[in-house]
Amino acid sequence: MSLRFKHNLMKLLNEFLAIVMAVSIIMLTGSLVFLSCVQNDGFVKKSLEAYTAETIELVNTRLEEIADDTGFSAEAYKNSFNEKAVDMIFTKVVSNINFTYSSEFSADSEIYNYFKSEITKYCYENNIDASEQEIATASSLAVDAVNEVLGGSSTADIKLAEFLRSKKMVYLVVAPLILIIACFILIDFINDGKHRRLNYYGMGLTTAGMIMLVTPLVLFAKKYIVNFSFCENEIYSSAFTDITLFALKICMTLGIPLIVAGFVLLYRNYHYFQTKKKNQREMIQHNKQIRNEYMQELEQKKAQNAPQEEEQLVSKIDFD
Amino acid sequence: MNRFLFSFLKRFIIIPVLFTAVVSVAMVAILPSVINSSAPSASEGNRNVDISLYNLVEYESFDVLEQGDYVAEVKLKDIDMCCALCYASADNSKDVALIKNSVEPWNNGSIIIEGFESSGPLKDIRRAKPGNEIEIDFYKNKAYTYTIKSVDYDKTYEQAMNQAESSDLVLAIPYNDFENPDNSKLYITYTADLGGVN
Repeated sequence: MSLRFKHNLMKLLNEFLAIVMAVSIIMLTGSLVFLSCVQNDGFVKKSLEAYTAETIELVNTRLEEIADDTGFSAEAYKNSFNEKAVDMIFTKVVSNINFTYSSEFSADSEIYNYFKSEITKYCYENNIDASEQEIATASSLAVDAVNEVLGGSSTADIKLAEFLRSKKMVYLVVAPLILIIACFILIDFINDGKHRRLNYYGMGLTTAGMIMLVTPLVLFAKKYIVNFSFCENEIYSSAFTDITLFALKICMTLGIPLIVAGFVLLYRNYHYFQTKKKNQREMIQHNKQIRNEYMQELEQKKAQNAPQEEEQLVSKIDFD
Repeated sequence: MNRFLFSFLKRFIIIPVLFTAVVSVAMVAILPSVINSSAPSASEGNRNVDISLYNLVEYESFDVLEQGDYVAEVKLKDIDMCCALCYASADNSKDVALIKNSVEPWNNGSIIIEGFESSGPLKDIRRAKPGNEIEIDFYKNKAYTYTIKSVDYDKTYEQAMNQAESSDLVLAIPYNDFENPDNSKLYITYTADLGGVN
C-alpha cells in the first residue's frame, strides 16, 4: 500500500467518522428537544389551550343543534361550556395522550356534574323554567356532544407522542451519545496532531448545524408539518403541529451555535496552518537572506584579498 | 487557491452543504408519502365499506343470520357517511348493529338499527336531520331508501323499540343516563319511512 493511498484512505475514514458524528449529534439533539416538548404535560396542555376558542365554538355549535332539536335553552348550553370546562377536559386529554389511551367522555360523571351545575345555575339566574329531568337530559346530551367533538381514539393515535414515550427513545438517546463519544475517540486516535483532529470535529459540528438549520426550513417551505395529520381530531392534531413546529424552531436555533463552533474550529485551524506556512516561508526567506549575506561577505572578502595575493605571488616569482 | 483555504472551504462549506442537500432531497422524496399515509383512514372507511372484512351470508330472512354477520351497507348521503350494518352486534366502531326483532323490508317489516355510544368515525350520524335520506343496501338483496321523519331524544330502549311499530326504520343512538344508578342508556332516535326501492 503506497503512502499516498494510505493517507487518502485515512482522510476518507476521518470524514466518514465526522459525518457519523454529525448524524449522531442531530439525532441526540432532535430526540432531546422533542422529548422535552412532548413529555412535558404542561407544555402539551398549553399548546392545546391555544385552541380553547375553537373548541368552545365546535362544542357550542353542536350544543346549539341539540338545543334546536330538543327545544332546551341554547343560551344555557352555551354558557355552560366555557374555558373552565375546556381546561378540565384538556387535563384529561393530556393524561390520555400521556398513556396513549382513547378519550371516552360519554360516561364521565365529572363532566356531567359540571354541566348539570352550570345549566342549573344559568336556569336559576335567568328564571328559565326547567325541571330536574330536563336539566339531567340536557346535561347528558351535552356530555355526549363533548364526547362527539373531543372524544375518540385520537389521543391514542398520535404516533409521535406514542413513539417519544416508548422505550425506543432510550436507544435513540443513548446510541447517538455512544456514537458521538466513539467517533470523538476514534478521530483522536487515528490522527496525530491537535489541529488535524480539530479539523474533523469542526466538520462534524458544521455538518450537524447546517442540517439542523436547513432541513426544518425545507419542512416549513414545503408545509409538510402543517399538512401532516397527527390524528383524526383536528384540535389535537393542530396542537401537535404547533408542538412540532416549536421543536423544529429550537433545533434550528441550536443549529446556529453548532455552525459557529464548527467555523471557529475550522477557521482557527486554517489560521494556524496559514501562519505556520507563513512562518516557514519567512524562515526560509530569512535563511536565504543570511546565506546571501554570508556569500556576499565571502565574495567581498575574496575580492579584497585577491590583489594582495597577486602581489605576494608576483614577489615570489624569480624572473631571473 | 492555496490548499489550506480549499481544505477549510471543503470542510466548512462543500461537505456540509452536499450532505444537507442529500438529506433535504431524501426528505422531499420520502415525506409526501408519509403525509399521505397520515391522512385519517377512518374518514375514508366512512365512505366505503370493505365487505370482504365481514362474514358474508346470503339471506332471504334475517333469521338465518348469526351475530356479527354482514347485513347491509348504510349510507347517509346528506352527511357523507357510510357504514356497515351487522347482525345483532357491532364488532367495531365503524359498524352499526341490526336489532334482532327487525323484519326484512321486502316482507313489509321495520328495521331497527342501534348505533354506539362512543365517539368515532360514525359520530356524524348524530347530525342527521328530518328530511335526510338513509339508503340501506342489503347484501345480495335490494337497496331501500328511507326518509327521516323525526328525531327524538331521551328515549329508553323499550320506547325506541316501540317506535318501530309506527315507522319503517328506527335508528337508535345511545347516550349515558347519569341519573340512573345502574348507568343505563337513553337513546336519540331517528325514525324514518320507506321512500323507494332500487
